[in-house]
Amino acid sequence: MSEPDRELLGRLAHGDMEALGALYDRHARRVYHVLLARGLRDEEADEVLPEVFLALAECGRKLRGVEDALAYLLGIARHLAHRVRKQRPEGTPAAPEPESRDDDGTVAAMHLVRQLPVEQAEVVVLKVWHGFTFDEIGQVLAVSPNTAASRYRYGIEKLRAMWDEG
Amino acid sequence: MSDFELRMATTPLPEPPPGLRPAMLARAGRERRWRTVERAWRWTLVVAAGLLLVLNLHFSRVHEHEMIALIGPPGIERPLEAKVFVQSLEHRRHVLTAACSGDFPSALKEDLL
Repeated sequence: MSEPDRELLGRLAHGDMEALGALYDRHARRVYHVLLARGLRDEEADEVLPEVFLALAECGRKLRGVEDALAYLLGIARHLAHRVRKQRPEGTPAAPEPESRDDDGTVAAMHLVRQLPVEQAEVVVLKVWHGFTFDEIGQVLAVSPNTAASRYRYGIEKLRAMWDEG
Repeated sequence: MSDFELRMATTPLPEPPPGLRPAMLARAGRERRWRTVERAWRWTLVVAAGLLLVLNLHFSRVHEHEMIALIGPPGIERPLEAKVFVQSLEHRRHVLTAACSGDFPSALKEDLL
């Protein structure tokens, strides 16, 4: 059985870098996808993802009171993503053009997700691609499960409409 | 989940580049070592500043005692000689009374001035 996040955070609080590696292995994909869903370009997300985990490591002893590592990481990720978007030069497109079409003719999914409002996009990513329940999404994004559900509903409707158009 | 959601779920999303993990861990290790050194320096400075304050206080006391030994204790710490003090007050009262009554001999006037 894998070590709970709380124990890994406790080890990280004492400077154990192996614990940081274990947390990265467990949560990096989720954090990366949320960064992309919040409108970061691929190269921006590649730069911000390590920063998120480094910021976690810098918290030191404060981590001993943290219950949910993913919620904490997503909090940092949202803050950093917001800063990156604000620092972009004027006129930079928020999301790149469609990168490719898959073999079955579908447009790259992340491109469609990026067209959604960020609050809806991150809920859709966590629900569809990571299998979170609305309770879990509410917990990690610090919103109520009902809010998460309504964001998901609006998001998936828009996604379906874009899918049908494209 | 609807068919659409299932279809979306099977569509792959971009993955984080594999090179990020080792680079991030190496940087975390470097930054941790740097923070340890920084913390050690900070505490060294704090202890040095505290030591400087204590030494400053100590040497100011030493200097004060040396000055007292050289010039004698301040007036407030000197024992009051009551007899001399009463005589001095009496003399001053005599001079002031003389001045007020117009009987102010020159010797007393000089003494007052």
